[in-house]
Amino acid sequence: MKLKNFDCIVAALAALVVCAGAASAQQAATYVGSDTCVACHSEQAAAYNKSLHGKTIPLVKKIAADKACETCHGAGSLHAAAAGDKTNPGFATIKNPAKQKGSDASAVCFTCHNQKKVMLWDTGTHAAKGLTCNTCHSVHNGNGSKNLKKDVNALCYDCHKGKKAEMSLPSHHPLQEGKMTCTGCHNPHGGALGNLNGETVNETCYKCHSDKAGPYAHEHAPVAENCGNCHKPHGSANQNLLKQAQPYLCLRCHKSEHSVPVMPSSRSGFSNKVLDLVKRNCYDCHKDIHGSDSSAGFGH
Amino acid sequence: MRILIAMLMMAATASPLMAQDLSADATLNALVKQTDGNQGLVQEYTKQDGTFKVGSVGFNAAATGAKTYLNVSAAGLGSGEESGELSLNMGTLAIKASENTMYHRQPYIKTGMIANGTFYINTNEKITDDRWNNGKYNTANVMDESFKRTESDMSVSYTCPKTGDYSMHVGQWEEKENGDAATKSSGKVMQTYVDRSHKLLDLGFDAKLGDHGAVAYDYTQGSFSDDAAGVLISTTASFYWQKAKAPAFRMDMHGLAFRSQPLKGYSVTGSVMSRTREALVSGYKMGSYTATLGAAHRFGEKLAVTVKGYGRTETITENDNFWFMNSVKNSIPSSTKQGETSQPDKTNFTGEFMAKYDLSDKLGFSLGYKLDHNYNRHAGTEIFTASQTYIDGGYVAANTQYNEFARKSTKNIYTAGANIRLPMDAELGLGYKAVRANKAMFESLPTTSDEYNADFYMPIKGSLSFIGSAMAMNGKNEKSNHTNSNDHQNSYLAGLEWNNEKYNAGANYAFDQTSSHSDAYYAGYSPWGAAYVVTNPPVRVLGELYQYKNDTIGLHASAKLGSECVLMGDSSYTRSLAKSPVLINFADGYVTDTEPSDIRMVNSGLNLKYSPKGKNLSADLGVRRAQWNDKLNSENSGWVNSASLSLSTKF
Repeated sequence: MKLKNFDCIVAALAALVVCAGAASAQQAATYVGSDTCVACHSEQAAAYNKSLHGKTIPLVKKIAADKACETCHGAGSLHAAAAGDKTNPGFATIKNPAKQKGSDASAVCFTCHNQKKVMLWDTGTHAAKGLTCNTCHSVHNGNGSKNLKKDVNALCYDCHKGKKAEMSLPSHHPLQEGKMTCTGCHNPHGGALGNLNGETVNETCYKCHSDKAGPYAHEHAPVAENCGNCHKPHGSANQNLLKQAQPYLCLRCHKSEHSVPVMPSSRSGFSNKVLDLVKRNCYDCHKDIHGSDSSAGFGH
Repeated sequence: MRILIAMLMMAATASPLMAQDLSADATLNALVKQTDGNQGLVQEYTKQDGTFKVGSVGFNAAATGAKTYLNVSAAGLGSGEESGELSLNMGTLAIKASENTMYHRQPYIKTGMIANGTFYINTNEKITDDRWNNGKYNTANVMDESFKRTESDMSVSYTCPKTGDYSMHVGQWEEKENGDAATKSSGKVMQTYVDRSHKLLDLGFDAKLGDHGAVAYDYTQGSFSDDAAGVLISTTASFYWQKAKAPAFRMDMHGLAFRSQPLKGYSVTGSVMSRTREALVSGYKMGSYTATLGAAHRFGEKLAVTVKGYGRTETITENDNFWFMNSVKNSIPSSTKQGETSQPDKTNFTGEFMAKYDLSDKLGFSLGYKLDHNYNRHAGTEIFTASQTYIDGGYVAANTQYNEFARKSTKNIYTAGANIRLPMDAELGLGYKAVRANKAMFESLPTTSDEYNADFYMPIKGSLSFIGSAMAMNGKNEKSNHTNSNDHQNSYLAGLEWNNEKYNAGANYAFDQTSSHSDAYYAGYSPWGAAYVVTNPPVRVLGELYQYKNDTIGLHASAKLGSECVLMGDSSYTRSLAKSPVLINFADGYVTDTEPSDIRMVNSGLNLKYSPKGKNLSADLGVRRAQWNDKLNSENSGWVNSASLSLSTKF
């Protein structure tokens, strides 16, 4: 502990030397170099150096190694000169993106990150709710190539707890089996429509369910409009992630259709009653319900 | 597998050349499974079954140098369900590749029904002989169908070395699905083939514009093909229909997005995108344009405001020259028909306003408004009924559209929320969402809905904490009295979590109940003859109730046993109950009935991890049991027990 304090004092002195003649907190801070930062923040520096972020970003973005810390945290002379004294006005001149709000926080990350998938972040749903990059990412201690604080799904479930429960229902996408992540459909950085990867619900689904994309010579209007009209993508008690079981699901729009086959039956013979089930599911005959090139009734 | 091999070769070549620091670990897995019953549901996403025994290998290797970073990992090698990932970064050049394989079971799910308290399986669902399978798979086991899905992704990006502000990338994503699936037509159950491929080629760049802006552009070309052999599906023994393949298509997409932060605390974003998708056989073509524009501003520390606009048009260009075979009878086309020539073209505009106000560290509010306007050109001209149909006490002529697809629909969506920090570090979140629409896009959708939700978190004592949430939603289509459709949902969730240095334990419970009421019209007509229109007018049953209830309980715990062992356990139990209305047709009249469904799922496991100090070896011994229990129809039930041993070593 004593050694750490000693390091801080040394760092502060070094900063004072660097800033000689300009030690007043009223003046703008200047760059002091990473060695000064590491003197007090050695744990953060060690973790950063090990991470993919630390190894690649300075190389790609032409950031000199001695400016790595101050690229994100801003010039540190006044902060270092405060030597840990929080009452010193210079202490607060350092930027801490983890505590910044709104676009101030994202602006730090956008210094380097220009990819298309993060372009709409500032006006996205997560940003509008007050989340920042640091809500999910840890620059110093994150895991894997994305510097995430946890596995993707576990991270999302922290807030979206109801979705985790839905994913354990009988019909579900293979998230709990580890074959898929939430980002397979969602762009947490904000998409054109909500937080979806595609510009519509359907275009999001079509990436994997491309056999449903068409365009068909006969479109089924609710299918072409929104897959969510019939499906619950996060999980369902019904087969194929359907909102309701057939024939009820279909009959909510299709009035006066032939949901029950007309055939002789009798109340006394349950085996005959069971016979009615042959055509109970609309899909049994209307196989191409997602669209067809050969039948307006989607029958074949 | 090709990409996986390429990744391994690349890693093997690159790592010794560049590495100053190498680290690697390898894992040898042994797995034994014991199964019984229908595996289609209990193991929906894996093919490992029966008395399955497999040894597989996995590894993770990292090589770091002064200017390079390489990480390559693979799992499940030798099991048939491999996955791998490679990340190679050499400063301005970065290569990423991954491949994942998965089996998706597509079994035949038998149906049945309850009558007088007894479950009767549908014995009329016949597993067909080889005639229905083109003579190819006459020994097909339709209870055990599956296809293999392989997803591979590879991208290369290059950053301009001078400034680091400009990058370009090229990538390929591919999905292949190959195997079989069970299918059913009019009671005949048979095997159908799956052989699909979807490929996306992507080329793009991004650039930083000054200190506060950036722009990115992407061009994506996609192609999809369905190469599965045709299957003949029958409705009667003498009438054959060929199952249609999914249409092959070509897709082209251009996307441009930008952002700018011209002033501190003020951001502007926008995007434009065009997409075309052309079905290669029919010649039908979808073209769409999408544009977004948004702005966000933070007024000091307390108030943040976001406004967004989203507009999209989608047009279907029909091919008047496309005619198709109506049906195939004994391989002879019985007639031809033209595709629809006036498909709905859609236009959607959404305007959104969101505000967040933090009154203090302990109290914050949010407000939102969204206008969602849809216009569907040609909607309502589409023919849904080919025969005369009896509806609401009258007849709708043949070839007349009735199942309404709204031409214009405008939704107003209002949201409000509050976040409150309570004494004892407890947190409470409250939310309300109201939807008011002038017309539902479809009959079953609500024009009015109200949704309430609450989230609660409280640290109870020391390392013990409680979370809880509740949600209630009521929706109704108030603009149509054809079906008087309405929906209700209630869900609750509660959890306890306890942690200390040696032990961790948690329990959670979730309940979800969804119900809807709708008038249903049954048995209106038969497609096989207009006579039924007259003799068999539809039966309107008021307020048919559909309902399902789900309970999910989860438990997990872990304990450090000394300094070298960790024991972990987890268990989840789901009970899923559903009631679905049907109408049964007896010779002497109709009877309304409810078909129940009762599924219980259990998944429990125990793992012991042993990592001896000072050794580069570790072991993980695990046992797991998963059970899918259909309480009404045991034909769908199955279970699997598995034992696994993984040995890992570090190099």
